[in-house]
Amino acid sequence: MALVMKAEPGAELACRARNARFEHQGHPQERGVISYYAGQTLAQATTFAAWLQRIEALSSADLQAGRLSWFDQPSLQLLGPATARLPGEPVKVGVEQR
Amino acid sequence: MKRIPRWHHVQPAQCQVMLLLVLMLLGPTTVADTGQTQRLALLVAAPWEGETAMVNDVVATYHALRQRGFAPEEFLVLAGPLTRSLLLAFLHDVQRRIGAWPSGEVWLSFSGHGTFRSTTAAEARPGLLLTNALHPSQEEQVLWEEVFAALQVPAAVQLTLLPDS
Repeated sequence: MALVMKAEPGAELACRARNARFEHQGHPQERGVISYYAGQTLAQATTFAAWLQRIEALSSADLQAGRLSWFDQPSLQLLGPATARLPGEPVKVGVEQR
Repeated sequence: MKRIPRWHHVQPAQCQVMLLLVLMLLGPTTVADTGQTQRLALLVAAPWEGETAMVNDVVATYHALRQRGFAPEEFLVLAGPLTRSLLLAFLHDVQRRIGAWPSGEVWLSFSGHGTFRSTTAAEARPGLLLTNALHPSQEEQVLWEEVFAALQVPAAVQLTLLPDS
């Protein structure tokens, strides 16, 4: 399984991965854009398809909020079975505490 | 090719000490005695001089996988100014560890810079560029096909690849 950048027609030989600054513990931190969004969404994702969905949703939200430029927005695709489960176990959130 | 931040100061000394080869595994296999899925996370960062993003990526990925239940001894981390020889030696060591696995999971994330050999998309052979030199030597680049050839992940072992390059 691989999560890789999409190649736009005619730009297959262009390198498209970017670095950008993201807030980390109140301070800007330099990160690879793909790694940042992959890491932010990895813990809770179940399948590769769900992981990609979360990445797209989060990066789109950051784009709309002005935290990410359109130039840096990742455009990713899955290579392999999208319904395969990610390694490890997803972190469960939203469990009601008693 | 990744954008090089202009605000970074070049700190060669810092870059040198960033070379970390953290071999957290104590033996040739992982969690073999627990009956759980054998798995291994390979986190590779290949920054050019003065860059910090790649090592930050490794740290963040480590924490994200820890949240998913990966144990500290299930990680191998290679970060710092890399060469072809060093990266391939690392991957050969990994192959020695996973080669006999009947099943399992291998995670490979690479944070660095990419390159292509060839001038047409049809013939393009993607790879990793380990230097910002104008004319990189053979020792400063590795093709992805060479990475996979060195790893030789067994057929029943799931490989998850996250290339940020």
